[in-house]
Amino acid sequence: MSVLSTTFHRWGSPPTFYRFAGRALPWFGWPAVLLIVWGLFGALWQAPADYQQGEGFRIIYAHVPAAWMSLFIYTSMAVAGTIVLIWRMKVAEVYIAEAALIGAGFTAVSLATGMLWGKPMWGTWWVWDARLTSQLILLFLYLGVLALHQSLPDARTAARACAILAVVGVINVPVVHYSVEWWNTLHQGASITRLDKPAMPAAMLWPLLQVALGCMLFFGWVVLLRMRSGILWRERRQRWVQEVLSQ
Amino acid sequence: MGQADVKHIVYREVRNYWSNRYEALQGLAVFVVVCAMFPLGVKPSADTLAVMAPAVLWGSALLACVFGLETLYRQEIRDGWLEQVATSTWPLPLLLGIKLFTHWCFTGLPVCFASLMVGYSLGLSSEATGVAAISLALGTPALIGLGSIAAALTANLTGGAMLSALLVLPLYVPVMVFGASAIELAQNGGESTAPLYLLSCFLLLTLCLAPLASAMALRAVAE
Repeated sequence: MSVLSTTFHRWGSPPTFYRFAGRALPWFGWPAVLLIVWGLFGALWQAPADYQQGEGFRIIYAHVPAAWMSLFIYTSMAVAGTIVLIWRMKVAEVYIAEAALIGAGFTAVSLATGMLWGKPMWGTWWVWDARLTSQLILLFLYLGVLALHQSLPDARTAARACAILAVVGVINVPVVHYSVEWWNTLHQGASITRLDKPAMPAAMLWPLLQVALGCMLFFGWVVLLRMRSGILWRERRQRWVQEVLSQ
Repeated sequence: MGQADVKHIVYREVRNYWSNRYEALQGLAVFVVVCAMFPLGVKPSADTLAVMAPAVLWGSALLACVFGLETLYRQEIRDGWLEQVATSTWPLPLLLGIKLFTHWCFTGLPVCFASLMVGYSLGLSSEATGVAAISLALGTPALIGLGSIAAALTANLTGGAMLSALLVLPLYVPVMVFGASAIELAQNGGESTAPLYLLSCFLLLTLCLAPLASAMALRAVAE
């Protein structure tokens, strides 16, 4: 057994993970708050207004990190799903269930901010643009995972089912994306041309990266919190949980 | 698993579907009825209908396939067939492949034939109608393959039909896009081979992966 595989197995055990997550929480929570506040300060005060879009472009600092997170979380769910299907690791099972809700939230945020951005810039709340449509379908995929998890009573069965769905979904996501892009280029007339994206100056880019990293840490913080309570609930009949709770 | 076993399984599936053939053909009925509903919602001039026809045909085909999923594994779980097979040495993915093919013969294939009539009545040219039937013949097996994963995941639930529709409809996007654009290109005098090839690619991908994923899902849910 190499060090790597021992570590892997130790992390997979719920009590170890529970304690580890408890110790790791502050390292996610506070940096997330600091980075997001710092990034938003840069975004709202320091970054110059866009020469084409004016002040309205600032919604990018909520929109783009949320869209990145929505894709990242779905991919991470598929990785966790593979781990569940191969090694039946309980911690990965908990991860899928808890991450799906947060991922759906980020997807909804990216869609909502996209609509708010689209209204002043494109003149409409919604266009059947390739990116918008595939993001909407991603939201449906998240909702599918959540609904499936809700409706299967046994937690382990539900986790395995969701793992299969996440893996199938992630194989399908690139195909969906390219098919939608292709459909769009076929169907769309000269109605809306997307604004040319110039290379971002550093004063605009840095806050974006700060907020994105902050969102990543925020996700880590929330998912660890939720996983801790999820683990406690699943293992509620185990002795270690009762010891933890009696402390 | 020998040749005789395969023959036996094919025989069992065909007999099952044949004895429930009226239930299986409800998918066809849903397809025709849904197609017939759309012209009632617009001014039914030939031009409008022909513009809508690709979406109407494919949308109705998606619904017909989704409705058929409910019966796919219900009986297998209820009468213990699945448990028997899962504990035997027979490869479950291969059995499910045979099962899905039979299911397609009774649900997807009739829809392909019906589309010849329905497409023409929706104002498609005869060439576009032919392309519609071909695209449905390539697309519906993929729909059933993907659908079988969702049906397997919800096989143990009462009232899982709605849920499996929710799970599988987002995955149907590529089939819808490629299938409908093939019809549209043929209708407007374009070359429709490109989307048909893409549809075939997607079909091959589904044919390879869907029986494996469905077997995994059935085992996960039934254990």
